[in-house]
Amino acid sequence: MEPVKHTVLAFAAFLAMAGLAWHQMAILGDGFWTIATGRWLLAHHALPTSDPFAFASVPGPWTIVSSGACVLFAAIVRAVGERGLMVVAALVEALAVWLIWSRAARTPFARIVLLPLALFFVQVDAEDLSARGQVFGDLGIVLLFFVLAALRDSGRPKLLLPLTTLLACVWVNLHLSFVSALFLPAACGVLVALEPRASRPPLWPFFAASGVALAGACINPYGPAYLRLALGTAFDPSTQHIDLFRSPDFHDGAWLIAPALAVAVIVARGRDAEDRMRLPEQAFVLLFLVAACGSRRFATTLVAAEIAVAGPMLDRWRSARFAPPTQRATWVVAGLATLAGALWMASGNDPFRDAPVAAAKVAREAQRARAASGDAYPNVVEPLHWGGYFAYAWMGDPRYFIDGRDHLRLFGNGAFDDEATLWRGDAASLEVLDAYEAGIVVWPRGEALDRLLRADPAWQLVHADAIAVAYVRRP
Amino acid sequence: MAVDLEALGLRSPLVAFVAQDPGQTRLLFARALVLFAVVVVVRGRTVRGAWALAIAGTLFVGSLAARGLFVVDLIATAAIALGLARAAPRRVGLFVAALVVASLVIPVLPVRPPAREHVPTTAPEATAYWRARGNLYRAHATAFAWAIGETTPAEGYLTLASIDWEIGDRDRARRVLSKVLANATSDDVLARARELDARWSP
Repeated sequence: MEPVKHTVLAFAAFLAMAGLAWHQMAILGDGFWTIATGRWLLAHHALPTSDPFAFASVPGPWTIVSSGACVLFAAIVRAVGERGLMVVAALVEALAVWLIWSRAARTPFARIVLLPLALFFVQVDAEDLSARGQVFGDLGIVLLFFVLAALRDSGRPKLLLPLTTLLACVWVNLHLSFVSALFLPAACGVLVALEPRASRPPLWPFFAASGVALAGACINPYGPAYLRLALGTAFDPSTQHIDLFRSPDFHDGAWLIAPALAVAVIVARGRDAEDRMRLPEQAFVLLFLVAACGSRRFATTLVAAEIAVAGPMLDRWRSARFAPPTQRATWVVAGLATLAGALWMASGNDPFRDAPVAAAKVAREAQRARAASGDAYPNVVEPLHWGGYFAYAWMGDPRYFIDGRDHLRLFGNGAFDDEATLWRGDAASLEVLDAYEAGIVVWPRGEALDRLLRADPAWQLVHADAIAVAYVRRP
Repeated sequence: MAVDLEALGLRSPLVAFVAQDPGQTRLLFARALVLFAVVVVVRGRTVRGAWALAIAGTLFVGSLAARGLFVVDLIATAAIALGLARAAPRRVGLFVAALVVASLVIPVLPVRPPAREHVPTTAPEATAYWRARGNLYRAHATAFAWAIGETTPAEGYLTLASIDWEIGDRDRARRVLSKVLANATSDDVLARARELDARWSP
């Protein structure tokens, strides 16, 4: 009976995690340009020599980011459609959290206690959860945590180092977060050095893991270019203007949960019976606490670190007094998880709910008419976060202003800063529109630029819906 | 050594922590360092140690929601760490003291303001600047201003035509070039215009 109960709980937990991931899943700009790029690659069976989508990007050779994810996403959409891609992305995200939950917590008591935290892994960054390479990044981080835990416990580098190489080799094709595999093992090596010599695992495998991950990443022909891009993205000042890379809004209490839990885990680990690796594990959580305070994108990783450290602790805490309530609670929790998962899965999810579908159609027709008449202002200008949809819907015919592919090389020519100026909706915004010869503007409804153009006699409103407006420049 | 009251949260104590605001990243590191000092010094499973760590951690989290707690967090946590370090082995005590000193020094180190790149003010220089950065539309806008400032079509017109060509607007490039060919007075400009014309001929 016991194994059946454990299996039911594990299955119900996966259902809940997949259901919540599906409920929060979306296709945002990154997902759309990933599909568009993959479609281009599949159609041409070659790498593009220049950017086929945007007109404001730097001319010349274009390095596709995460080409493996691009082809994979395009193939999935071709096979099962956009909604199918969202299902796959939700399953990958659920698999990541399920793996860390089920491997970190082995006893029913620990699994029941950690199930809400595992669901929080999905929920914490629900705003940015979307079908894009990031879901592979989350899975990669979890697999990397397994490698690090194995290096800590077993010290069998002969098996683990080739696995790390393979992980980095695959990961580099899917998401720029592969750099974690290069730096995290070495960082953990430093943390492990805090352990007394008598109980310390060998340090060299941690540093060797970073080395083989670098080699694995660079086996890919694009590896060195991706590495430069990832490091540039991490450290370039312009990255600080991107919402995802900024600190969360700590006035929103929800963002304080993960840091508060991190402190609780650090304190609890200090009181835990297991002495071995106490300080390194506390420092490990502290490391991700600092990262998550600095950048919202690390919130998910912080929760993963909390689960990884708290799981074995809770396993050790299982005692006779917890056994009877756990017995009864397992069925109840499994039932609740199944119900929640089913309800989340039943909720509808439109892949195009955040895309300016109608406005893009109007803009494309207007652009074609202006181009045919030789108008001096033929270009379509839109915000960065909608550029991905324009790439997907137009496939470069016509080309649009900007998207979120790469703000360092592709749009590091001033276009990224100019897009930020457009949001101000002032005289400088009009100057940007003139400089880029904008004849059509598609913009989120109600924003400052919308108000500016509505009041400007040089521009005419030609479309308005719930999320977008489209303006054309009067002759 | 001037202390940045704004960065320390003393001017606007209820504002939430944002790492990207001036001076905030190093304050984050300082507070993390001093929290780490407490983690290091709390050895063994003592109740006192757990309380010390819980207080330090709570102050850390609290200072994320209100910057006014930055200084309180830093000083209180440093005091906790140093207090516990007195009973710790000498080696641990020295390490913790070093961490505390570093965490207290970091916030008052002078910060170099980020270097800002300025766009040249003259049209020819601005055009060259934007071309070098790979922004053909910005380069076009400045080259246009340069060209209309010329009494007879010269360098500005030639540059404008070249940028039109690079953008991919071949007709417009040829139209601009035709004005140079028809009205330029400089032999050098004319020679280069003819060279472009020959290169761009269908």
